[in-house]
Amino acid sequence: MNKIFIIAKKEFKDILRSRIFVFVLLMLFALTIISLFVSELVFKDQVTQYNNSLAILKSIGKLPASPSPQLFPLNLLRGVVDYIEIIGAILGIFLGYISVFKERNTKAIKLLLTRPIKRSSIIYGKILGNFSFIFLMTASVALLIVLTLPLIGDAGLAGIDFLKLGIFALLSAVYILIFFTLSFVLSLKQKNIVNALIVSFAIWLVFVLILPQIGDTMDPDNQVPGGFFKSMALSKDQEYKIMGGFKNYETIRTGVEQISITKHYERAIFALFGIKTQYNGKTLNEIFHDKWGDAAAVVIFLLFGVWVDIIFFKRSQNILNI
Amino acid sequence: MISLTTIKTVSGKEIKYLLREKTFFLLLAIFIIMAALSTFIGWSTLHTIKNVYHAAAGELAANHKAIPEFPLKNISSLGIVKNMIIYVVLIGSLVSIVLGYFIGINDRVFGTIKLIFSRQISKTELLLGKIFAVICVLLAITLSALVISLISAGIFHVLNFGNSLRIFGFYAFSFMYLFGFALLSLALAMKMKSSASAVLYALFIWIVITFALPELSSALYPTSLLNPVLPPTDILNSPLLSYIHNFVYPFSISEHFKDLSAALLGVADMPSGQPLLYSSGINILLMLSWNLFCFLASFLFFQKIKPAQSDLYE
Repeated sequence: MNKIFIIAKKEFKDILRSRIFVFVLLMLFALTIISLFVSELVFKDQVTQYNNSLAILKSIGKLPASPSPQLFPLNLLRGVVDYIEIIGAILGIFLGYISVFKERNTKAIKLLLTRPIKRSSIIYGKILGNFSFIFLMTASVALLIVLTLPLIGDAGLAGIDFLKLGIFALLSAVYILIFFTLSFVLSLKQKNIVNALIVSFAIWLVFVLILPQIGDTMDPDNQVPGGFFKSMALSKDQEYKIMGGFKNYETIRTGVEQISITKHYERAIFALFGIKTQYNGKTLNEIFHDKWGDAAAVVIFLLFGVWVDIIFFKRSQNILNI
Repeated sequence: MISLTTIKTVSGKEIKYLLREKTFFLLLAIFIIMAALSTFIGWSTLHTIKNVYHAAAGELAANHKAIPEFPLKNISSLGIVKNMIIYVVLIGSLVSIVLGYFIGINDRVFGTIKLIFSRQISKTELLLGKIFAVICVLLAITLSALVISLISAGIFHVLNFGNSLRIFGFYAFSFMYLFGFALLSLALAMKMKSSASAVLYALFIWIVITFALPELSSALYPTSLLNPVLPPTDILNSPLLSYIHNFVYPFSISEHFKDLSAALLGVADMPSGQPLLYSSGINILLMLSWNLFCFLASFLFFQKIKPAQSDLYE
C-alpha cells in the first residue's frame, strides 16, 4: 500500500511541475468565470423584462399569468458543466498521455521494475495520483464557484448547495478520470505515442460532442426556437402522450445519447443543480432516486477503464521498448 | 526567387508522409461518415416532426382547441443538409488541426529539417510547399464531402441547379473556415517545443473560437451552440450583453461561418431577440481576414524557426 502512495505522490508532483496543466487549469477557471458572468447577466435581464411586463400589466389593471423568475444559484452553472464536459475530458486525455510519455522518455519505468514492486501497484499509484490531481482541480472549480457566485451573481448559497457542489466535484473527477484511463491504455498500445493522443481525441470527439449533438438534433422539440411543443401550446402530459406514438424513433434517439458517457454525466449534474427545472427544490434523495442510473453509469465506465488499464499495463511490453 | 518546382516537391513529400498517418485517416473517416449521415439525420428528423405535428393537431382538435400552423412550413428544402454546418465546425476543424499538425511536425520528428536546409531551399519555399500540401488535402476533403452531400441531397429529392450551387457555395466557405485552422495548427506544430503542446494550443484556439467567443457574443451555453436551431436569446434587452456582443462578435469567426452557411443553405431562422448580425458580404470579408491572419501567423512563426534547433526528440 505504501508503494502505491509513493508512486501516487510522485505522479502528483510531476503533474504540478508541468506547464501544460497549469495552462489547462487557468483556462478552465477563466471559462468558469466567463460562463457564470454571462449566465448572471441573462438572469438579471429576465428579471428586468418580467418587471417591465408586470408594470405594464398593472397599469392596465391585469395580473401576470406567469410567476416571476426565481433564482436558484446553481442553475447558473450550466456553462460550467459544459466546459467540464469538454475541457475536463481534454485534460484527462493529456494526463493519460503524459503519464505514459514521461515513463518512455525518462526510462524511469525500467529502473522502477527492477525494484520489488508489482506492475499492478504502479498502475494503482498512477491512477491514484492522477485522480488526486483531477479532484483537486474540480474541487478548486467548486471553490471558485462558491467564492464568485455571491460576487457575480448576488446569490447566497444554502447548506445543501455546498453538498451539491461537493458531489459535483467528485463526479466530475470520476468523469475526467475515464478519459485518463482511455488515453493511458492507448498510449501503452501505440508505438508512436502522439498517435495515441490523436486517437483519444477522435474518441473524445465522437462520445463528448457528436453523439450528444445527434441526440439533441433528432429531438423534435429542438426543431423550433423555444421548443416545438410550446409553439403548439401543448402541455407536458400531452407531449408525453404524443411522443408515445413515436417509441421506435425515441428509442433510437435516446439510445444514441445513452452510448455517450458525457450525456450520463450531464443528466446527473443537470438534475443535481436543478438545471433540469423539475429538480429545483427537490431533496438529494429524490434526485438520487431518479438519477442514480446515470451516476452509476459514470462510475461503471471508470471501473471498466481502470480494469482495461490494469490488464494492458500488466501485459504491455511497449513501455519497456524504449 | 521562389521556385515552383521546389514548392511542388515539398508538398508532394508532405502529402506522401501524411498518407502514412493512420490516425489522420481515422478522424477523416469520422468526418466523411458524418457527412454521409447528416442528410439522413436531417431528413429523418424533418419526417418525424411532420408526423409529430399531425399527431399534435389531432390532440388539439380532440380538445376543441385552435391548431397552429406547422412551425416549419417555410423551411428551405436544404434544411435536411443543415447539420453539416455543425459537423464542419466540430469535426472538420479538428481534422484540419490534425492535418496542419502532421504537415508541420513531420520534419521535426524525423529530424530532417537540417538536411532540408542543407539544400538550396529557402524558408519561404519550404513553408509555401507545406501550405500548398495543406490546400491540396483540404480541397480533396471538402470536395469529397461536397460530392457526398450532393448525392444524398439527390437521394432525398432536394437536388436542383439552385440547390447544387448553394451546397457548392457552402463547401467553398467551409474550405475557407477550415484552412484557417489548418494554417494555425501548422504554425504551432512548427514552433512549439513539444508535439503535445502543439496539439494542446491548437485545441485551445479551437475551443475559444467554437465555444467561448460565441457564448460571450450570444449569451448561449456552449453545447446549445451545437444545436442547428438556436434557442431564443434576449441579449438586445441587456445593455451590457449587447455591448459584449458588439465587442466580441467581429472576432467570433465560427459564428460568421455559421451565419454565412445558414444564409447560403437558406436555413437562417433567427430566433426572437437575436441581435442584428452582419450581412453576408461582411461575413465573407471577415472569413477572408481570418485566412489572412492565419497565413501571416504561419509566416511569422516560420521565420523565427532556427533549423539547427528545431528537431524534436520525443
